[in-house]
Amino acid sequence: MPSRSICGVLALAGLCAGAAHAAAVLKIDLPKDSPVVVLSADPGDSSETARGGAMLLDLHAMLSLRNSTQRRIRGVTLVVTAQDVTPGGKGSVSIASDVGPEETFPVRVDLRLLRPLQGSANVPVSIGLDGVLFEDLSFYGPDKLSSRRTMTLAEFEARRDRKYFKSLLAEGGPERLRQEIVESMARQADRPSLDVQVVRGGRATNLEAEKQVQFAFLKLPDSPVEPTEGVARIAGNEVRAPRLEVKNRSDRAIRYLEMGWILRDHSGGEFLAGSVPAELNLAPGQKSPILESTTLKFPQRGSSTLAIEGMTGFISSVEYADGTVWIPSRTDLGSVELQRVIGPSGEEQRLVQIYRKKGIRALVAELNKF
Amino acid sequence: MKHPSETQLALLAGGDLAGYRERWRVARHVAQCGDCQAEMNSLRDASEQVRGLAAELPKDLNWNRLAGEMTGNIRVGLAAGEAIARFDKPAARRLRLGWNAALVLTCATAVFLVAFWISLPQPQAEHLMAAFKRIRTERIGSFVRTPAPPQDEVVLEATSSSIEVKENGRTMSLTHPHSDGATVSVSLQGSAGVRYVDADTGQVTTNKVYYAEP
Amino acid sequence: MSDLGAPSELQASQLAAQELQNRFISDNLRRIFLLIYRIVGNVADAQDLTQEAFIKALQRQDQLKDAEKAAHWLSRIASNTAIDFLRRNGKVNFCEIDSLVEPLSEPSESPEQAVLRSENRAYLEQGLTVLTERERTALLLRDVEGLAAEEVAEHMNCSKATVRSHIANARIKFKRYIERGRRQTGRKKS
Repeated sequence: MPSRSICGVLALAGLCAGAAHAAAVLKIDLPKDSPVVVLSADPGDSSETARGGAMLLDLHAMLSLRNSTQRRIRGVTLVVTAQDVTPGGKGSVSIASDVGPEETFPVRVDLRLLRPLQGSANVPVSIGLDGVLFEDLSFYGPDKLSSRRTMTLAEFEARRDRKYFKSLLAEGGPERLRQEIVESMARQADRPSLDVQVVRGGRATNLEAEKQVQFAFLKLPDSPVEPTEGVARIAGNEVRAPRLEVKNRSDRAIRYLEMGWILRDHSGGEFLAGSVPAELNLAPGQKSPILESTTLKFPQRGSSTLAIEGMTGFISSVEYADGTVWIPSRTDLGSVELQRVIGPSGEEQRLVQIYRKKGIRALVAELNKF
Repeated sequence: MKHPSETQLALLAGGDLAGYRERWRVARHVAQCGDCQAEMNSLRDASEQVRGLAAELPKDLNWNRLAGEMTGNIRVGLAAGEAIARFDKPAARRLRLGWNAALVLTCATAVFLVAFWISLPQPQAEHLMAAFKRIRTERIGSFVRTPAPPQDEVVLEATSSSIEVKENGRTMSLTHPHSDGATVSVSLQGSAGVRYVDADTGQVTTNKVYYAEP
Repeated sequence: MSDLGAPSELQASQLAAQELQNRFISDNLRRIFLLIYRIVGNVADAQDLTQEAFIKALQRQDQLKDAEKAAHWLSRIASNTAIDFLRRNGKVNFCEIDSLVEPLSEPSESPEQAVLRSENRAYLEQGLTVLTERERTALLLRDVEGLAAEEVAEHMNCSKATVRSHIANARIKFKRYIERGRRQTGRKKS
C-alpha cells in the first residue's frame, strides 16, 4: 500500500570546535489509510553537541496530528527508529487521549542519540505508526510493538479509575473526591522508585555471591491466573533469570499475562522493579512455566547500593484468547501500601494533574465528560 | 505658600522621596502646613490599611484545606524536580594543582598502587582485574575506551529522567523533560518504559525503548 | 505487604531534611500565598504560583539553614514569580506609568453597601482592584513586604523613578478611594 511520508531535514544548531556537523533527518511515514494524519512537525530546540569522542544529538519535535475519522480515538502509538545508531533498538511514544472526530492533538518526541563522532553527517530518524485504539476498542495498525494490548490495558485501567473517582463524587460530593485526590498526590510523592537496567543474556556482572530466592506472591482473589511457584537468582543489586509457574484457574483460554515484580531491599524498602510478561497458550486449568534469561540490575544511586533480599510477584494483567482483558480492580489492589509501591494508573495521574492545575470544579467537569 | 504636589507628599509619607534637598524642603513645609499634614496622615493611614488588608485571607477561603493541597503539590513538584536534576547533574569541578604538586601526587600514587598490587593475594588480584575490565563510565557522552560489550549484552535502562537502549557504545534515549511525575517500568522481555502526564498537553504519555533481534 | 524496617542512617538524615522542608513550608506558606494573591488578584493563580515559588526555593536546600535569610529569599522568589506571571499572561508592561485619573467603571459593589453591611474589608479589597497591576505590585512590595524602592525596581525590572511613580500613584489612588467611601457613608448617615 502506498505510504504517506513527510520528509524534513532538521538542521541542528550548535557546534563544539573541531567537531563535524550532523543533522537528524526526520522521516514520518504513515500508511495512506491511516486514521491519523500528520499536519506539522515542529523541530523545536533541537541541537547537537560533541562530547569527547561522541556526538550527542537532541531532537525535541512536536508533531501535530489529526483524527481523520468519524470515531473517537483513545490512544495512538508511534514507533521511532534510528537505524544508524541502534540497529536493534527502537522506541515508541504512546499517547492516551480522548480525541474526537477531526480533532487535532499534539505528540511530543524528545529523542537523544549518542554515536561516535566518526559517522555520517545525516542521522535518519524514522517515525511510523504502530497502532490506533478507538473508543469501541477496535484497533488499526501493524501492532508490531503489541501496542494494541498495551493501549487496551491502559484504557481499561482508565475506565476503572474514572469509575472509582466518579463513585466517590457521587457518594461524598466534591469534598470526598478532593480528599482522595490529595491522598493520591501524597502517595505519588512518597512512592519509591529505582533506576533499572535490563541485560540480555543473563551474564553475571558483579562479584557478589549468588543466592536463589523464592518469590512470595500477592493473592488477588479475582485474578484468573494464580502464580504457583517462582525463584530467581540474586547477587547484590542484580536479579537474574526468574523462573515462574502459573496456573489458569478460569474457564477461558489465556494467551498473555504480565506479572508485576516487587523487590524488597535489606532495609525493608519495597520497589516495583518491573514486569515479567509471558506469551503463552494456557487452557483452563492448565499450568505453564515462565522462564527468562534476562538480568535486572539496579545501579547505585548516590551513596546507597541496593541489596536485594526478597521478591513478591502479583498478576498485573491477563489477556484471554478472545482478546478481552482482565486487570486488578481497585479492591484487588487493596492496601494503601501496595498502591504506593505500584503507583497510580496514567488516568489517575492525569486526573490529579487536572486538579492541581485547575481545581476541583475542573476535575468534576472532566469526570462528567465520560 | 506653594504646596508640594500630591505625588511628593505620597512619596514622603512612605519615606520614598528622592533627593536630600527635596525631602528637607517638603518636610519643612509639611511641618508648617496643616492641610498638607492632614494629607500626609491620610496617605499614611491608607498604607496602614493596605498592610492590614494584605495580612487577611480572602473571604470564604478554607485556608486549612488550601494549605494542605499546596503542601501536597509542593512535595510532588519537588519529587519531579529531583528526577530532572539527576539527569542534568553538573559536571564535577576539576581540582587544579600546580605542576610540582601534581608530580609529587602522581609519584606517591604510583608507589602506593605498586605496593598494594604486590601485597594482594592472587585470587583477589584476579577478581580485581576482572572488575576493572567491566567498569563503564556512566556519564552520557564519554567515549567508551574499555572493550565494547559482547554482542549479547544489550542494555536497556530506565531512570525517572529518561529511558534508553544501549548498543555497542551507541545509545538511543527517549527523554521526558515536560513530564509531571514519571512512573518507570521495565519488562524482562526487552523493553523499558516511562509513563507520565505531559505538563503542557495534559496527555498521558508512555515512552518505551525496545530491543529486538534485527 | 511487609512493613518497613528500622530506618538506616541515610534514611534518618533524609527524614531530618524532610522535616526542615516541612517546617519551612508551614512557617511561610500563608505569608507567601497572601503576597502573591494580592499581586495577581485571584486564588487559583495564587495557589499555582505559591506552589511554584516554594518548589523553586526548596530546590536550593543549602539556603534553608538560616531561617530569616531563607524567608527573605523566598519572598523575592515569590514576588518575581508573580510578576513574571503577570508579564507572561497579562502582557503587563511594568514600566509604563498610569495616569491618576480614576477608572470609568465603578466597582460592582457600591461603597455604601459595603460600609452599611459592615464589610469594610470587602470594600478595601475592592480598593486594591482600582489600582493597576503595576501600581498594586509596587505598593505591595514596598508597603507590605517592606522592600526598598531600589529593590522593588529590581524586581519589576524598571527604573527607580518609574517605580516611585507607581508607588506614589498607588498610595494616592487608594487614599482617594477610602475618602470617597467615607464621604458616601457620611452622606448616607446625615
